[in-house]
Amino acid sequence: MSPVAGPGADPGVHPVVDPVVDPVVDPVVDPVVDPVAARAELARRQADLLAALVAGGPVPEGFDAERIRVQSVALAAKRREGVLRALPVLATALGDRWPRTFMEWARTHPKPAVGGSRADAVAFAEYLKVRGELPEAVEAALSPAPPDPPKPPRRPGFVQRVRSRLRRNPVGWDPEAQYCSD
Amino acid sequence: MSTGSGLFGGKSGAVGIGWRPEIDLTVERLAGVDFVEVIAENVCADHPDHLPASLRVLRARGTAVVPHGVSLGLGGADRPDPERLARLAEVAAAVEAPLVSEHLAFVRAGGMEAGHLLPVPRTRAALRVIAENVRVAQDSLPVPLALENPATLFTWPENEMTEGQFLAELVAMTGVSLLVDVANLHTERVNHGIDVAAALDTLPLEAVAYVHVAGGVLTDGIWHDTHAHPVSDEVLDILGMLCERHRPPGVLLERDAAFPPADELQGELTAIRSRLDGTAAAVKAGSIRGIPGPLGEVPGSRTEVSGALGGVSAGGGR
Repeated sequence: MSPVAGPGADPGVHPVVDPVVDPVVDPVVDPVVDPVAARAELARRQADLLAALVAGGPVPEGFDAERIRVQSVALAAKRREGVLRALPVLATALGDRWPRTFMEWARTHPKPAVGGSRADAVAFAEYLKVRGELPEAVEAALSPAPPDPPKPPRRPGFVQRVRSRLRRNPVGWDPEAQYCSD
Repeated sequence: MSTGSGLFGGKSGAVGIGWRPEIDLTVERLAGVDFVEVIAENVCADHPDHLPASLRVLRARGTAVVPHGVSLGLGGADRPDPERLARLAEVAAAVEAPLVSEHLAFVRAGGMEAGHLLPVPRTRAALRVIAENVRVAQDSLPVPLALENPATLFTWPENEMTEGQFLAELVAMTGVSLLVDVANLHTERVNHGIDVAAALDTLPLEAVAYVHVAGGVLTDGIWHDTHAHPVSDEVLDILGMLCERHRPPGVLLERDAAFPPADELQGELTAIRSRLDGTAAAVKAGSIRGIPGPLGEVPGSRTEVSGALGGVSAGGGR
């Protein structure tokens, strides 16, 4: 068995033992690891890896490229399910193009940091809009309902409208998935 | 009421299921559910009255509710976000949670969101960073924290430790509890060839707060932990191996999609109960009476299971 600290090990007590067979390290006083450098290195490695997984970046050295591809596809597929729940009209309006177009886009465009699948769906629609490929049914679904009071003199553009809707969402979790009592 | 670890309504060997809005009525009616888990990010918790009605029903019965976080990213390079921690603490308070759980995983980096749990490099340097993250989280939470081993599709080339060793060190450094997902151990066996018995021998099982069980699917030689397929015997066998070494305070079934009829979930809970109680062999031989039937009555011979429901019918709080 490898020399691993048992659950009873007390990190605050350092008996005289061979350091080779006692790898218990107090995170506060570990003399081997520079905490600032450790965070910086971890940030760099994780960012490089995530870029490969969700932003079309190169696979960092040492990783199994095929497994990284499988993970990238799995991440995009998970987003696809969420986006489809948020905006089902994407599938009906895009037809055969839906899964392929979304997967290609998702593997090179990270999920928005806030707003959950709803924001992801809007970002994908913006991408289609820029390419002139946004189906009318999707654009209609994303547009606000006609206002009840007299129409405002000027309506913001498509991007401003959807951004404004997004801003109303709380940050950090998926409002579509929130489950509250009435 | 039996005495136990006190984590789940005073019981030891508790059985639970992941509460999801799609199966809320089912969960309320399943037999032998001692505790449930909720995805912390998906629950309105600004006030106990705003909790989903089903959770309030379960809480009123004394069923423990454990918030399960998926977005803290304790395995990331940034210290955990105070706003996310405050929200997790708020959920824990709203459901009167005995503990909360999260993952040994990172979910964002370089301004990008993964949208999923990704494995961390198991190096001494990363261990120090993550131990500090865990301590920051522990300091912000009103209840103990348990960390879960994730299911992974790839490994880091710079790994210096096994997952078991890494988690054991984290436990020693921080006192964090463990949520051992036996389906994820199966995933690691299929995808990375780990020795499950050795992994269980390395993990400090005394630190386990509860265990996850879930189904998955094998595609092109890779195990995908879907939570949308039936629980396989391979996964249940790992649960049995774990329970032989150390009986955990609780075991929880996760089902997130492709929800089956209630009978099927009840059968999986029964299978979990039998492994937890070490009666798998006897059940297979048909020599044990009183395994709860699908949504049926809970036989009196199963004192712990009936105790869970007994508290329900009596309306007893704890």
